[in-house]
Amino acid sequence: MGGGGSGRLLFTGALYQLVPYIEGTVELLRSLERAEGVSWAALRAARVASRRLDLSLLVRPDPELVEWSRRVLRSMARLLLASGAEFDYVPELSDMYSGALLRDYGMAEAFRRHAERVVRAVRSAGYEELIVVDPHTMDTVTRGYQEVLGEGLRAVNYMELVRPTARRGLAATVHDSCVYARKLGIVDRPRELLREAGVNVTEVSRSGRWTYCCGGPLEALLPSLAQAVAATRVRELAGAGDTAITMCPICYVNLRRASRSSGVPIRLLDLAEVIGGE
Amino acid sequence: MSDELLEGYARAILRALEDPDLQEALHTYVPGSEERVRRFLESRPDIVQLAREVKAIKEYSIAHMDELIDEAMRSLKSVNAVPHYAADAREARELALSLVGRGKVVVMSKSMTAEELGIREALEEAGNEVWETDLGQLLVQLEGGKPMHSIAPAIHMTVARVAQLLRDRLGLDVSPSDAPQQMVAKVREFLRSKFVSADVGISGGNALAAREGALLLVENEGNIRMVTNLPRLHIAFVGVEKLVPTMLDAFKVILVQAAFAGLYPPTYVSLIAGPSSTGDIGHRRVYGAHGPVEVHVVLVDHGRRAAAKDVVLREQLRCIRCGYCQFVCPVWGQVANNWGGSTYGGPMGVNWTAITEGVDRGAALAMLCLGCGRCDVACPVEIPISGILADLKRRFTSSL
Repeated sequence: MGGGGSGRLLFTGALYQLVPYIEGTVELLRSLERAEGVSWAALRAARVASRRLDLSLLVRPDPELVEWSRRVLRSMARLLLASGAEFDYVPELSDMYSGALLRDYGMAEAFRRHAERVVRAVRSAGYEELIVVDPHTMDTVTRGYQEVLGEGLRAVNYMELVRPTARRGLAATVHDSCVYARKLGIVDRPRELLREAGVNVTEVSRSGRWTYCCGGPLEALLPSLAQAVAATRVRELAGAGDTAITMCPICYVNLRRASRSSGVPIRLLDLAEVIGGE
Repeated sequence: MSDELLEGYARAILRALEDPDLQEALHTYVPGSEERVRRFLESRPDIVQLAREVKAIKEYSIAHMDELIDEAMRSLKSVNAVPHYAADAREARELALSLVGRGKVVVMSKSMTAEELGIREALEEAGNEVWETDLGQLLVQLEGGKPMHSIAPAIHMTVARVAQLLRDRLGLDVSPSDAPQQMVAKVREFLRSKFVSADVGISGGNALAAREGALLLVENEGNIRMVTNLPRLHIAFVGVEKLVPTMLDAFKVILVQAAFAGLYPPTYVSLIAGPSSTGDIGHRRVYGAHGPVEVHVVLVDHGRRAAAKDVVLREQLRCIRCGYCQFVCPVWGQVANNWGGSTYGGPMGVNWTAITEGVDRGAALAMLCLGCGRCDVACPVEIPISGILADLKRRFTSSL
């Protein structure tokens, strides 16, 4: 996969890899949130959460989630290879963080500087287009970079390039990502892929353009509120069936935590796991 | 300062998350409301089309706000209403006090603008007896809190809490086991006595037609008709963003507002163009028949004209206050207007807080937005609500 000169770079944006660290960070923040006499320093925490290296010094990643994120990314890569898509994977470029969290928290100048760094690195390596694997990275490198630099990167979502390699006898509901469904207009494609993979898709009333948030964007600022939103969504998804399919690592980790803490059981699977057969 | 503001707002949210009554009320009521409106709108493409027209009407109106203010001042005079202009909340309260005086009985219809300006509190402090007459807003008054939604102000209260307030604060003979109908009947009896003895009626306005000087109000309860018709003096507080060019435009606004609020068709629409009059004796026009003898309309700025010059905030001025964005917002769905400033909350309300209380307050509140964008999909006049909130976040972080 590496450096083959295809002109198209697989760009993970490091979000799937970041998720195990986010899980640990949120637990840390939850204890800070309610502690008496502790200065409420959410923004500082958010800054920390946006820098992976600092984060790794603070929290221990959940091994189960580490394995999950590796499994999902492997499935995506295999799906792309099986579909005959040509692309390069260059770790130091492919796993650069997009800066999504900086943008979400309104840190405009830091985000602009980060965007410049990513664009320069990608362009100077000769890549014209990215293959992205999660909604936040896709929105950030296209619309987000466009907003601050006047020009975004060209990106295609992996879902557009692949066909399922697995057949599943599975009934499941879909938890659309807010970013995919409302900002990027990606609603039909995941359902097509799931049906092709033999999944019987059931819908919750708040799906597609009306999908409900997993609470994730507030997890670094006010974890209790993020958790309450996630618990509401988990109850709703569980009402539609025992399995729900996510397509964003932030959604996955928040809903997983909410399911555990609220005692509402639901089996969560990433779309790539399902259609890739792992 | 900004960090302290954010901390204060965050703590209010944490308290709200631990309030069992609020949680029960919100989780019982909100999801159904969202779905009911969505289903209705799917069945009525004509209303969705009308909403697009209203967007254009409001865009024009905001861009021509100063001209519409001048035109409304002239046309209000031409229908023998008395126009006033209040640059800020203090001026609005002074006007209210000078028009009402002391020792009066005042009935109010629910008005977020009057709430924002502190009209009720100012009149009470001056020794007047003031009653909210919208049932939800009356409960908010009795509780001493703030409205939790622009259309459903007492949505945060359980039936048991309502019974307790009516019993403890008004001395009504109600119990938590009473059906809502029984409680409403007792409140009706109580408020009737206030309507008939009131000296002054105070309302807001859903839209004001600049060309005709006609005020439009939409409701279901029937209290607005009482407030604006029974007392001899009617005072309306109307934000300048409510101005539209014509009466037909104003009708379009209120129909869309009612539909997106889940109240379509609205039970009552009141159109008020000046005081009541008759010409039946000697063919001479006499003011003050069955309705008020005096109608005063206070056009209120309080941050709106400055917002109209702000390239981002100006878009929020299109808001027709249907409150649909609040019903669909995941954060509002957990804590209602506890995510908000002193009056307005939820997605549109945080932006309104920036307009009416200052950008620093709105910006701190915006940090607690998920950015999920459900509000944008819901908004009938296509305000990029989450985009405005994102801009406020940028202003917050750049101030640190």
